[in-house]
Amino acid sequence: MAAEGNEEAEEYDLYHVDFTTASEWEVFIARIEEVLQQWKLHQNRFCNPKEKLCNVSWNTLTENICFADYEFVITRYFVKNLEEENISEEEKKKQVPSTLITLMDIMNSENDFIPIIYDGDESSPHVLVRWYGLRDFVILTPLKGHLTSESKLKLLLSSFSMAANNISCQVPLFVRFLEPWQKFYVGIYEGQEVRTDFEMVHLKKIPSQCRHLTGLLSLFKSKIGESDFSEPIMVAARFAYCLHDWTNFAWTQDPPDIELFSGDIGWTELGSFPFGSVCEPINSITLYTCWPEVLETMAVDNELYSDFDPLSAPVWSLSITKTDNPVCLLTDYVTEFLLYCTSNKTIEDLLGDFAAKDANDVLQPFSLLTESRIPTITTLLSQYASKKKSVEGPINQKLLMPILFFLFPDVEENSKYPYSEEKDADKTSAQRMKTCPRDSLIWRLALVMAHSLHMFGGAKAAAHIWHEFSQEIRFRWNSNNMIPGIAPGFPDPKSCLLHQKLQMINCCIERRKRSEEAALGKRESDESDDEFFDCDENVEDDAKPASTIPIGRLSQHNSLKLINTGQPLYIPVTQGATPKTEDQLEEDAQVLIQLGSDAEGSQLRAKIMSASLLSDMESFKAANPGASIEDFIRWYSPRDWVEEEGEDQFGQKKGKLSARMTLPGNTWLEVWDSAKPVPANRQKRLFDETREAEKALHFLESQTPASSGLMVVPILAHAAVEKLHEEAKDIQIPSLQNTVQQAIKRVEALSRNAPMDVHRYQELCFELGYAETVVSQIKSIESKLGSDEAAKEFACKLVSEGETILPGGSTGSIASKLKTIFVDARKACLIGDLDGGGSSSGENPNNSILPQATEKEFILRATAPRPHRHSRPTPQRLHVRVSKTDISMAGAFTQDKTFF
Amino acid sequence: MEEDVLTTLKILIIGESGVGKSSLLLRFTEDSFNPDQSLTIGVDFKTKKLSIDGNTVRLAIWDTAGQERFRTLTPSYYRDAQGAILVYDVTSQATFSKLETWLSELDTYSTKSNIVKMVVGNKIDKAGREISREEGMKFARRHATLFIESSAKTKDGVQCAFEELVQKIIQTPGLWESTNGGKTFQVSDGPAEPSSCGGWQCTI
Repeated sequence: MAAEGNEEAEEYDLYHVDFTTASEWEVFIARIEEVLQQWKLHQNRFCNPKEKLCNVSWNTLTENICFADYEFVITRYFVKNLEEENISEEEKKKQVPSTLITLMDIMNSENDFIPIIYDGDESSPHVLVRWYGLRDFVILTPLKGHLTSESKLKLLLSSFSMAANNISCQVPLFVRFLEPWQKFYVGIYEGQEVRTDFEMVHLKKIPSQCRHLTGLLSLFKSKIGESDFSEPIMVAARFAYCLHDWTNFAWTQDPPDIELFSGDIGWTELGSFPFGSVCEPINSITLYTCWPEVLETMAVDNELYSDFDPLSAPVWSLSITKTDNPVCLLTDYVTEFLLYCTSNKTIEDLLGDFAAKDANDVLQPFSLLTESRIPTITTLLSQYASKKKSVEGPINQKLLMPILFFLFPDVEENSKYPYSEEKDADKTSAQRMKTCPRDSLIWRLALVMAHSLHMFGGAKAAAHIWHEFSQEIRFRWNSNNMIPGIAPGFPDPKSCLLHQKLQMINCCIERRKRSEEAALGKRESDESDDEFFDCDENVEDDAKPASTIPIGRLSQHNSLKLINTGQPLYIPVTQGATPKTEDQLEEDAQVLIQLGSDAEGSQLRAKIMSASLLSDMESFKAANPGASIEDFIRWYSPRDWVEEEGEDQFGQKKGKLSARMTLPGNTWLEVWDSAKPVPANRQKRLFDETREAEKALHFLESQTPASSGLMVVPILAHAAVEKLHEEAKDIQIPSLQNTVQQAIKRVEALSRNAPMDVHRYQELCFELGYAETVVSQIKSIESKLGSDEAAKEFACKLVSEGETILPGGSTGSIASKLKTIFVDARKACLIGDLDGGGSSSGENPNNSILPQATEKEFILRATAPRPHRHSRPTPQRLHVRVSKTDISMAGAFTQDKTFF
Repeated sequence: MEEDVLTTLKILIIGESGVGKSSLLLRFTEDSFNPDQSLTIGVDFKTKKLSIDGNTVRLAIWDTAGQERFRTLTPSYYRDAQGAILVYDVTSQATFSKLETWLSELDTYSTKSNIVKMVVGNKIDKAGREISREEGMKFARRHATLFIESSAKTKDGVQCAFEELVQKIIQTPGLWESTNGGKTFQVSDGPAEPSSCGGWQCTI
């Protein structure tokens, strides 16, 4: 340590360190070295040259760097697991030092033509990976604008060269020249005793000899200096055939049209969403025919003859370009509906006189009284007919009737669209959505409203449907006719509010029907116990003498006898539970909460709640004349009856009320004392069906177009994700399935969200749009290339991963379908040419299936001594891309630095 | 002080008549005990603020009547509850046997699918125990609920029952939403150690 310290001190003495005169250029080089060292590119590492570059993930590191006041960005592109530290011994054996990897990669034919995906001027992986097969490299690009001066380029390359030599950098360094779209990269690599120059040519005019392999070979040979000692050149080629014109293979979904509904057909369409993109979701496909590396002598390709027959190429692969944001029907429907929910138009704005007139018509109470309470189909129909005589709504009568028949199929005899009776097992996680059963009344309503928005006349038509719907519900109540397609029973808090309201109305209709039937029954036989009718205070007095005659008995209790009389205890008929919708429950709870949480509040709450207790006690007294509170408690709250030893005179065990039941001022005792013996059917009703029905009907009728839309939106979203799930379920693309699940989860959450916020549905639209587009793409490809298992798998790979090799190559079933499409496109093209007066029909008449190649790529490789024939043989490579309009060549030429 | 409250949680107390539901609530909210607690008619409710791991929540606790006849009335108030305490009397086999019915009723009427349930065996101070601690625990395990034994009379386990329930609710993602818009709260995925802070954190 001491010696080292001395040395340092000496060095310090010997060299006077002064960088104050360093030029901008020296500072620039020093900065490059610093960055390269920071990225540890000067250290020896190991990598596996056999690792394929097509399925790896790429990483980038970026630094800013300045030359004087000119700013650059320096970026390192490298295969991600290069940095991995923990690798097995097995793996280690395959590895080579990083000093060799660049030259090995240049000569490695396994990474030829790896697929790249372009995104504007960027691509993934970088084009240099495609051209040179590199796995680790650095690119310098100007921060703003682009480099055009060749002298500046040379200066930058020299800087790189110096920096690379100073720190013995082990990866190639590139400079981006010209404009980004030209993808022009020039670079150097300083290896051990060799140096590789990466050069490029980009020409807009294609020299005729460069169109074919023969010409390119001689070009390459002249560049590397052909000698007797050099090994033969290896060649790989790939031709691309692009297809834009689908002729009759295009896959598009027509939006449902009003025309479809003019006849009797197509009504089932109303019950589901349309699905898919309106335009062809696949913009173009490109077929690649590929010949992996062969000796130059094995292939002839010149102007007159070519061994590269695409139809017999050993490898066929396909890539697609997708249409950007195609309009998708399902997503469009939902988006349109959300827009409707945000409009601030009133129903009068949209429907004008029609709504007002209609409301007056129906609300005439006298006309109702004269009509029969039990409607027939004809009265229903005539009701519709008379209603519409004067003013017609936005949807004309001819169209409206079938829609109403679809929503209310019970009006028609033998309807084609009845609501299914059985409760279907939920297909998706529908149970967790706070909406309504599948294909129930409001499910259909949601779809019909969406269809109306789309094709029956926009917002006006949707408002019209809602108006007709609420009118029909009103009519159902007035005519004592149950609403179809609604789950039976009390309002289900697990369904949406609209569904609960309709359940409520059905409950009301049912109660009224029951009491009317009972009233009817009473007229026929006076001995009916099961009667219900409104009663007022006067009637109650008449019921007084009944205190000795038991009334309103339901059944005899199986063991209990009255303590005072020894008569059997009868369970009374009681008033049933009260149906309530969630908003009413919320109100009730609020009332209770507002009473406060102190003792007084509790007292008041007990008072409110004791209404049902009073009713039950009155029923009990009526059914059991002479009963005491002890009898009532033994039936009502058995745990408050404490049994004791011994039996009373009727053979029952003795007992007494529990301590809490005998407290003075006890609500139970108070209520018992005030209870009169009144059977349930003569009591003041706890549930007033007329009032409740009116409330619910008013709720429906007072909705604005936007708020009615908001009530329906969760159901619409539920139906939409169900449709999506159904369409996507067979497509095995993880990202698609994730999105579908995410959309379902989102609807679950949104449907439970009480204050509805339309904006929160926007995210759902994005998810729907993405998933619907992907499904459309898959369906489009399947329609073109077949839908058997292999083709399905192929379609998924093509859409999710990009370029995919055809199973079965040029002779497989997918290839044969593909050929048909190409032939068709050519035929269409020829017809077009003839029409247009064109005479020449393509350049290669001997190849009638595929059109002229849109792009040809060649990779030429050789090991040759450069710069002199006595130098050591080093790797040389040339990548050529010839398109219809331009040619670009990228070459890596290595030379010996020692023997030249 | 209002803005310190993280959220309001709705908690139900259900179980057979006379198992001590109202007494538990009285012990928890007012720390008192009335041997002659009057019978609840329908539903009643009380509020209390509770601090757990430095965060204050307001509890709205709904006490229900246990009588069979009230069962048509009380489930209306199950709506949107985040937690439920199912009480039985350890000296009465009948009240324990009925727990299954109460659980299924809760599943039928609760609107939140991930509502946190807790089984409480009350009246452990009383002689003549019919349900052992193990039996109660077995039931709770089988139905995946929290479990505790308590005595509203001697205070045993009452505070702890409510605290554990609330802690579990706070740790359940998606079960509650902060009423305080300004702050964001993160709920960790993994179950946190019981009675230790750190199940979630607050970032302002």
